[in-house]
Amino acid sequence: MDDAPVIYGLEFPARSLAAQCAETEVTRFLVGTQALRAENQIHLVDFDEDNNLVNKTVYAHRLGEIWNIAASRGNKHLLSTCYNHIELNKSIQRAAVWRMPDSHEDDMDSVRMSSDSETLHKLTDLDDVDHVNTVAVIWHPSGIDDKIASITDSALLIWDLNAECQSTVADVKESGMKSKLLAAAWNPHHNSQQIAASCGSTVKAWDIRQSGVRQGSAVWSLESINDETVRCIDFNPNRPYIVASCGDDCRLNIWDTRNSKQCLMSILEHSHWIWSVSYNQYHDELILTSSSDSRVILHKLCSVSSEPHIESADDVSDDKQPREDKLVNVYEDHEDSVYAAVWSSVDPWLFATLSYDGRLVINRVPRAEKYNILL
Amino acid sequence: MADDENSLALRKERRKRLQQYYTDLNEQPECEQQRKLDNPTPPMVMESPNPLNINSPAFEPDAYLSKLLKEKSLSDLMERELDMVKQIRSLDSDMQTLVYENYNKFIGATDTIRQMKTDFCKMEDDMEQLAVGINEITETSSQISAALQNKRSQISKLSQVHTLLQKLQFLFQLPGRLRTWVDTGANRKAVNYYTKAKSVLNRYGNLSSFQHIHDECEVIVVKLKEDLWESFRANHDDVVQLGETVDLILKLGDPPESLCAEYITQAKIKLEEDLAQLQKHVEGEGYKLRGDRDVIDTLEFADMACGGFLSNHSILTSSYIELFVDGVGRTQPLFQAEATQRLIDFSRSLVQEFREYVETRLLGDADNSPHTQMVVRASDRIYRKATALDRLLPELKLRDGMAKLLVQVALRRCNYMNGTLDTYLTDAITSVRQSLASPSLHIGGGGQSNISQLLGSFQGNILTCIKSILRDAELFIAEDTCFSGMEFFATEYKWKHVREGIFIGFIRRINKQCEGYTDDIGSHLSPAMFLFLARFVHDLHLSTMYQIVNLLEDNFPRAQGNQNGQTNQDALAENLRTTAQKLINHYVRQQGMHVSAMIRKSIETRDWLSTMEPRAVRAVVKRLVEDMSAIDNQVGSLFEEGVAKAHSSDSSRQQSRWSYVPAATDTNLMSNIQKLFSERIEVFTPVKFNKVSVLTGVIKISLKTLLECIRSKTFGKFGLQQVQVDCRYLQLYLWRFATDDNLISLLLDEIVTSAVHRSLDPQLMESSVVELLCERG
Repeated sequence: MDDAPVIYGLEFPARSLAAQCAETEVTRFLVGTQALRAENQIHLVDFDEDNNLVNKTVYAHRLGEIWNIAASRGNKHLLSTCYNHIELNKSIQRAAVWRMPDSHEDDMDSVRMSSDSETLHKLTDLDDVDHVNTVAVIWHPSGIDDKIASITDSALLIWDLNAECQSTVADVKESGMKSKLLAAAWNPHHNSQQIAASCGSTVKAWDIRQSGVRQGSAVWSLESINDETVRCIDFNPNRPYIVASCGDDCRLNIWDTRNSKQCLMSILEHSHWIWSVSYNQYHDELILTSSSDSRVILHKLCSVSSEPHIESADDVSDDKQPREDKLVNVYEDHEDSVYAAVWSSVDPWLFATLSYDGRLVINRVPRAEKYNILL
Repeated sequence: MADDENSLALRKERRKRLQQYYTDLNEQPECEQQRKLDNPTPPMVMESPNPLNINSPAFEPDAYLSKLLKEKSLSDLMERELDMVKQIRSLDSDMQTLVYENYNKFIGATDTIRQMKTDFCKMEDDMEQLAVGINEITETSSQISAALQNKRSQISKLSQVHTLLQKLQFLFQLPGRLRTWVDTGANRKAVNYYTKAKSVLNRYGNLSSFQHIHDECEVIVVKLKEDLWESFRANHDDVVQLGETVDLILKLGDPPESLCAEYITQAKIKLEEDLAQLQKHVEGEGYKLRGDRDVIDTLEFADMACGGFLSNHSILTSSYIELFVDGVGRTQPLFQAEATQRLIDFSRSLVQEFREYVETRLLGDADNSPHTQMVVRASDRIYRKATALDRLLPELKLRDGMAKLLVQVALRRCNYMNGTLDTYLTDAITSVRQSLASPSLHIGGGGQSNISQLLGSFQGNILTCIKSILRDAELFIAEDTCFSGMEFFATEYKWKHVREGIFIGFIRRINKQCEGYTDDIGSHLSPAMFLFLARFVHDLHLSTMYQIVNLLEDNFPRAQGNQNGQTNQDALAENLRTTAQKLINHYVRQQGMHVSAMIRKSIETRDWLSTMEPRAVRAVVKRLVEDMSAIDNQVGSLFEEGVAKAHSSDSSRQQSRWSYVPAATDTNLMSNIQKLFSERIEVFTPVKFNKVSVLTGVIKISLKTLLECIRSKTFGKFGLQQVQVDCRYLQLYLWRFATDDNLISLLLDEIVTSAVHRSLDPQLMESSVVELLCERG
């Protein structure tokens, strides 16, 4: 039997979730709440796999409701948030980089009062005069912490934290595009020199070395055939050129960036918008999607994974199920729209999903499928 | 005679009985013994001789008397005596009567014998007279015959001379007659008479008178022969004439070997002419490039093949066999074998060439000709004629070759029919697309009945097309064709190529094509088209498919047993059902996305923080209701109403639940508690094939989109109130489209709750004002 999912409830609605990637010992997730009229929090959730228990540390985030949260890959104390800032009847989104207190381990031992939330130390704001409304922040995939990218409505910015300076890589308004930027992903291949961002129904990628006075044009561009917004993109961590995208067309699309005319695969399982797509870092045939139809779906797409059909002569896998593309499981633990789904950075078979009603569910890949992949 | 025999039998019978009577007494003991041996239980009837029985032969009077005296009283004795006297007396009188009668009969017999004696004497005299008469007759007869003997021999001699004279006269007249016949063209007669006279002329040719005749005849015959040869070489149009000419030449005694070779040469010339004519109508480019006027149709081609090559070849072959194989060959067995061999060699290449032409043409026509009937009849004719030729020349296996060709023709034709069906389907779908795209049928255009009429005629046309193809397919197995009995046509053709290949395959292809529309995200079919196809495939799954299968049952039933490649009907139906479901799902999704796009735009482009106090329902919300109504019309024209859950009586009138002003944290808590108690909303359930279910699907997607858009925005006081008004309006007008108005209320509740949550200043409007605004519209 598969283990029952572990459910952790927050008092506030939430839509931002990230795995603490730099942590290699304990499965930790960061959740940012979204309360307009109350003090917002960042929950650091520890998952104790042996006992199926959840421990939390709550940090106050007084600047506003959190729309996006991201953790550094190199330093487990660093994280970034995008938050709502309201002034003069205008709501804009700003971003900041934070450092968590070092004494995290001590907290676990000496149980403090939970109401007395910890405070975060703000390292820097990521605000640019020309480009407001930051929708997402992404960290360098190799854990180089002084490089960080932020996406605003209209531009892709690269920040150098040490030098405290910023450069614009792409400005969509100036290149004549009407849609706003919505989601971004940093290509981990080829020295991490590409960043892809969704802009309406297209996905464009820019070379970060082009930064400077003049913004470069897109390196490649993927056009969705039906004119529906792309809400999330993710690069295959192990196989170059392969990208997954999803959005309002309810489809999970897999692309080869070298052929932008047609996607490799298009899977229609969700019945409403897909808000997030996430590759498993170790077994890239496993892809997680979450949707506002309140379902989470685990796909297994071997044909576009980094290990396509290795059915050699010494193959003894007759008793094994053939490696084919299939839908592994549909998780129906949520009752509201699921805005985020992320894999644990420690256990490749573990993932967390977050729905708007503040329900964080920690779930596992079905055991049968796990053995099928491993054996 | 018969009387005699009867009387003889009668007499024998009588004698036998007498003998039996007299021997009875002696033999009885023996018989008795015999019987005892035969049968261990003695018969009750026979008793041992009783000396006291008066009727027994062993009767002893003394014993009997003493016994009587001992046993009987006096009166008894007296009575007994009286009785006996009476018996004795009657016996005596009987005996007297018998003796008298016999005496009379004896007297009668004596008289008869005496009479007979006198009669016989008379007869003897008559017989003597007769013998004398006959002797006289014999004598006279021999005298007469001796007298006539002379004359008879003379007469027979005279008649012999007469015949001889007749023959001679014939011989003398022969040259003249021959000349006349030759001149008038009666060659056969001339040759016949010449051959008759030839032996005589040869025998008596040394006599001077005959010599003359002989020479004269020879001259004529040589000339005749020359004429014949000439006509033989010159004329190869009339193959019957050719055979006849050769027959005559043969009779005139020319050597069969050279004649045979010459005959084959001539036949070849003729047949090659026929082939050349066929070739004209086969050869690729000429055949295709030539104008329509010159191209002959399949049937004419078949007639040409039958009437030309095949028939000529048959006639030539049969007369060849008659002349050389059966005629000359009977006397020369060596030549017979050689002649047969020559014939086969000669035919083989010609027939091979013929087969190539026919194959090219028939297969070409099977691929292209619009008339199946013509192809079938042409094949039938050629096959029949080829069978006839095959009987004469079984060595060439022409019939087998033609049978193989027929199978190929049938297979090609099946392909052609498949192509026809596919083209028809594609055209029909294209025309439906055009009709649907025309303004009169556009969404909200009010042409609802047209769309169902369109469906009706679409289905009708497809069925008609299927029926006509079915009729074409039946032509191949019609009883009047000579090949309907071939095994291929009786089995494999029926179930594999027609049933599976054409019709089940067609259903399968429809299924695949329609399924392809849903898979292909680039397909630009209109929503109406998807709705139309959904209905079509749904009908196909429920009834049309079975109609088609029923049509097939008569002539193209399933094969017996479990043949590989037979389609499981249930699986096919299941596939169709799945496809119909996919199509209707696609329709719902497409319409949902269409409405969603509108909603999204209206929410995202507005600044909800600094909006004015709501004065009316937003136009886009009214538009949403209008669109729903249009979709409702569209779906309603093709699908049944469906069952809606009973609407609670006050559903549209119920008051908004959001009239309170909740504290910030309470909202979340309240909504969570509310969710705990209400059952989980299955927002996305499978769509059923009825109007309400389809509409519910579209509405659910649209409202979910509205919810998501609201959640991504931040609202001021009036922004929230505007959402409140809009939702109330939707609640008032959307319930009638959906299966479950509770579901809609729940979704709308959630939208308002989310808006409250996203509001900086969550103050809801007075519900009476909301009602007022909604009523104003």
